[in-house]
Amino acid sequence: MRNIVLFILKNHVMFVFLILETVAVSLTLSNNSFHSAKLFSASNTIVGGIYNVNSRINEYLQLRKVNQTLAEENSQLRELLYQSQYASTDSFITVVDTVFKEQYTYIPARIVHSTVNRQSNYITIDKGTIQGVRTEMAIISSNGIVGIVKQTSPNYSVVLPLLHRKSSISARLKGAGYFGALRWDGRDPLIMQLHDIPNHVELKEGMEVETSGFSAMFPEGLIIGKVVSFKQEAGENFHSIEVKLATDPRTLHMVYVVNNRMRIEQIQLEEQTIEADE
Amino acid sequence: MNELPKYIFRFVALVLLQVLVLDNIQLGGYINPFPYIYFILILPINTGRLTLLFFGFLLGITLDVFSATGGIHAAACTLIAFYRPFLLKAQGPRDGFELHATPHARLFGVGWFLGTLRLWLPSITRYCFL
Repeated sequence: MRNIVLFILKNHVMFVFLILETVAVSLTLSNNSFHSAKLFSASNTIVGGIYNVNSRINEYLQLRKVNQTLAEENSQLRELLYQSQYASTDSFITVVDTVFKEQYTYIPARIVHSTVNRQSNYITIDKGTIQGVRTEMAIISSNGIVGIVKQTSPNYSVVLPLLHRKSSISARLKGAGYFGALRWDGRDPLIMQLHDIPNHVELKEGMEVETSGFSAMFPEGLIIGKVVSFKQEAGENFHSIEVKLATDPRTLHMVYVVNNRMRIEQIQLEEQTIEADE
Repeated sequence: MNELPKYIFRFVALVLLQVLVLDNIQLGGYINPFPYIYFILILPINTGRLTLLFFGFLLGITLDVFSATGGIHAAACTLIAFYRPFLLKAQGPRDGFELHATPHARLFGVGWFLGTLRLWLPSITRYCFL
């Protein structure tokens, strides 16, 4: 026993080194399941605050571009307004509309920090549980989709963007109707891969890819990008398709958090069905 | 101990430089420069080995918190802090360093400094693919 104590005392630097390394390595490993590393996540208050200041400065430098996209979106929305539509009849009656019910609500948010140069990227936005953001909500921008909320704190949320090895979005070929999983191979931040489209589907370059709405997170029919190349690997049943994103993830600033009011209902029903099946 | 504020300032400055500026840079599309470990390099030569280890770990874990990488930076920095004394010994003058000296370029000449940097390079160009 004495010898062991002496041995440890003699090599205490080595032992401290080994302990610290073990802590570091275990942190690295546990970080892969993103939820468990709550303490060290980028959503915590100090880090979020520093990134917030930084992004305010950056944002100021990009005002011209942001204004432009907002103006474009405004004009699109204006087209949808009642005033900009031609009245085809002269008489109106008031109808209490019970056919349509609001399903999606949107919370505007600002990106305070994002990375695009790793294989596991994250985005931090400046809205959290106080503003009504919950995990698993979808994030979209004015002309494309961004990702899914992974973790929330009172005032910040961390988003798992499209550009993450584990991100997988249900996407559909517009027109053809076939759907598959959209994933990222970690190389080009503008190019993603669409999987599970069977070989017999006829593809064209330039075909549009949109959200399918099956995940109960994204509204149906949002444009994701366009098919830029496709090929059939020998012996494979599915096409390998490359999709160019409609929005450059590197230039994002303003986003919307999408709240699907019927999501819980849909998920519960689906889970009940699966449970009853087993 | 009156040197302490200087080192705290360096620590904060290097971390902020790394997090706010250099994390956005990729040389050749892949390599992310990590000059923040300069902090470990320029600690005084007579710094105790335990102190070195703790400073290394602290520096690394700070970077990890900012870049949400778990403990990768901490592991790398602790390793660097661990083998720094061996490297300095191998590179130092024959009769050992003066007490309280810091491994600066102006103290031992630019050539010596670059030589040291070259030895350190493998740790500086970290795992670009993480």
